[in-house]
Amino acid sequence: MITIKDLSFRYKQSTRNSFEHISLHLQDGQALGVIGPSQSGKTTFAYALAGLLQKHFRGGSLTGTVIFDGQDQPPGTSEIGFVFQDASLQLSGVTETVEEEIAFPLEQFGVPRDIMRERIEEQLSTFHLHELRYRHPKTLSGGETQMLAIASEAAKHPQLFILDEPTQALDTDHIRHLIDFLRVAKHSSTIIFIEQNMSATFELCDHVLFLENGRQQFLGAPHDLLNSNTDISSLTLPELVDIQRSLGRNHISLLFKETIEWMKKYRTSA
Amino acid sequence: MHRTVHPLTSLCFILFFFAVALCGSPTMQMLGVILLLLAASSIRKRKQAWKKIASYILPIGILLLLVNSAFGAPFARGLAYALRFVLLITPLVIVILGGSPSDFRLGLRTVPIPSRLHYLFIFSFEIIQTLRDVFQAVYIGQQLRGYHADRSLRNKWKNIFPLLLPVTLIAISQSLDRSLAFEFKGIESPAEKVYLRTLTLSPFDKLSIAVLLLSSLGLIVAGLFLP
Repeated sequence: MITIKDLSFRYKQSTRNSFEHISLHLQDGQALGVIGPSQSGKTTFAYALAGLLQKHFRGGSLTGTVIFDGQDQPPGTSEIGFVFQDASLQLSGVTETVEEEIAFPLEQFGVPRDIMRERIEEQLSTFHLHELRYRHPKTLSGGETQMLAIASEAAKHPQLFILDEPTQALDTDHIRHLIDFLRVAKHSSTIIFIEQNMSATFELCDHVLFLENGRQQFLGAPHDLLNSNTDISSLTLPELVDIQRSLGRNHISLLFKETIEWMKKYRTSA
Repeated sequence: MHRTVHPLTSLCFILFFFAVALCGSPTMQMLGVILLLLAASSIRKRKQAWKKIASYILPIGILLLLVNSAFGAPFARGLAYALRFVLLITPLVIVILGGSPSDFRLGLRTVPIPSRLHYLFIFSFEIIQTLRDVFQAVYIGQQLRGYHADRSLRNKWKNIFPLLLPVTLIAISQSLDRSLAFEFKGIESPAEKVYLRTLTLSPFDKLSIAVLLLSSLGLIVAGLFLP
């Protein structure tokens, strides 16, 4: 359970806040989508949740509180999974196979070897990496590297899983595998999903936090965002939503079947 | 040396020949060279090893002998210098070509040194490749923007300097991201490391280490205290 109260941050020597006055409450097993155009403070917000700002950007000014399960300290790094934007930088560089790369964080946190082996199998199967098991991580494509970075963090079974634009290097199949995995992972982890891909965000997340220039423009269910008065012109919306908006539908749906039914009725009435 | 050799055994192998080179008698040094040539013939990459020995090590050894003779030194002293050179360099070639980096990496895990040190050691090799990749990316990027690398060597070097700044900046910015990522990989975790795979000392390794260490120690003591 995460409770954020009036959280703001400004980098050292910056003239404006990266994000400001963010307040929200997230229950266990929920996924929060953080959306917004570039430079809106999404990544910095993720750093704040993971405790990185407090630790590595000490010159900056962080105000407000973040409470994790009643504690004002973020969980330890073994409890947080963090997938960074550039997955290639997330590879350890000291492993020679995909399975070793998945095992790397488990080795560091002293997970017993039999559990480690189970988790490696689990991740190889979840992310369809079986065929790449003995490949050197440096020989993988961009999408495969991204999946490996996610699998390696997921193997920790983190309580809080933060993914910063995880779909940017992925093809449609890989995005589907990732969303399927996160839907299951949601039962045991709280997920923070920072994305520009609205289809994936709307499909996965219970809540979305829409940031623009560091300001909270909207917080609520994805469906409510689309039907609110919030200006969402800076977002790249799914085609399904775009069509409904261009046809002037008042109550925008994210459900494909319902939308098709509505479009049939719309055509008949038109 | 077709078997997997633990890095500690390799280290003792090098140490032994260092002891032979520096403390052994000329006869012992000759025997040492014969032993090394036998070892070079038994490794998997023996052709490469022989090529290195024949093209670099032996010619330099012979050169040392000739230079010493040319300057009027007794033949025995020139031979001793040449043998020492061969004894100091050849074991390194045999260890590098005889072992695999993977075995070395796995073996290093069982050596009681802080894990950060051995990651640093392995990563220092990786970082060269990483910097090369960054340089290549910047080089291609700048070429697309009109940068022209002259064919002449003098101008080429002069033209490469403007590329060093972006390469350095990218490397620095990447190092911050890498360090943050490493934190989540548990690099600072106080928990005792449990490795998926390691290379433990086999009975062959244990025996070899004992023999090599005792022999080295004997040679050092003999070299120091015997006339």
